[in-house]
Amino acid sequence: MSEASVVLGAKARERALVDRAKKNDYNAYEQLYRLHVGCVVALCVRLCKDRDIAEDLAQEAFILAWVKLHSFRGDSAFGSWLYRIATNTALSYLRKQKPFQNSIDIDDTAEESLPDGIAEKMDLEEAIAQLPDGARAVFVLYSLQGYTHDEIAKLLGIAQGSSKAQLHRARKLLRGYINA
Amino acid sequence: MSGQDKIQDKKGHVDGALSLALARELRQLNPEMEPSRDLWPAIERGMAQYVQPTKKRLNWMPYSVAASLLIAVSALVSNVVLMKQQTAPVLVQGTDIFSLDENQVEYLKVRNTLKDQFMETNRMLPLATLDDLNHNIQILEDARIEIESQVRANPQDARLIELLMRIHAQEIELLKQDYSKSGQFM
Repeated sequence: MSEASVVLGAKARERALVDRAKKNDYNAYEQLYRLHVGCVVALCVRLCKDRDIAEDLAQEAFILAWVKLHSFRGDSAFGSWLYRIATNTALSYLRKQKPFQNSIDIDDTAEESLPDGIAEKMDLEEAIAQLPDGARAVFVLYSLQGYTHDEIAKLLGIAQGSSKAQLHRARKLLRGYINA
Repeated sequence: MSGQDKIQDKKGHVDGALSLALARELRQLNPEMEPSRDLWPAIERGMAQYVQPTKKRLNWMPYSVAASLLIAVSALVSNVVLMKQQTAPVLVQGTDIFSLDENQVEYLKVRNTLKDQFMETNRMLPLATLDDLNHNIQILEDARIEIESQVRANPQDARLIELLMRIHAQEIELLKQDYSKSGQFM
């Protein structure tokens, strides 16, 4: 069986699970949960750093997705739709903690490095967690989730230019980690 | 190349290499993280508060029945109006003169039996649908009564008699329907 047909088969199976879940089939939704929980937790952990909070947010995202499931028309993959809900859930949490700045004061010429105590080479995952909130959110959304700057600007309520600047800042800091 | 240019070039080279290294590390990043606990039981409890809304089936049948009957009745009524305006009606000749009373007794016997059967057969339909069907029956009945009064006034008018026969056929046709079998009203 070719790779393409395996992918198509998996998509068809997922669509069937979604259809069943829409008819209140908990078993089908549990299978969807098992398929996607890893990616949803990873997304939430990377956005909000704290593992326990991230798991609570992932839980909330799955419940919210269930509530909104009837509105899922299948234009995109279920996973993409679910990750968007998880992204919004995590960002909404972060916004409550500390609103994202609409403008950032970054002096590109200034030397910026990772915070003290993490000058040594570390796991990239740890380095992402050490990024400032705004830079981390933009980096995760752009580099890992594939959002555009326009989408990120709308999601975070910042200007597109700020999104680009935050990404530049995040990359610079992460390169510092690689260079350590 | 000046010394300054050499430094810039070297810096750009290093930045490029670092970007590649970062990109490589990013590709190796695991897209999944297993949760430290099973989140499903809590999710299931949260889900229990919401029930997926069942997709409403389109209840098109009552509307199409109502629409088709309205068109038929409107056509009949406009025919009656047109006939009233005609100066020389088509008359029934000699022994073929229509006996309304005789016809009415026969017709009502059949019609009332069918109506009882209709109500019995379709009694399981939703109330709103039953109301709609009853409304359609009432429209036809009103039209029939109107035409009957016209026929009574003009017992030799062949067109009025033809109209009356047509509305009888329509009423009978409607009352023979068993909508409960189609399942489209449920």
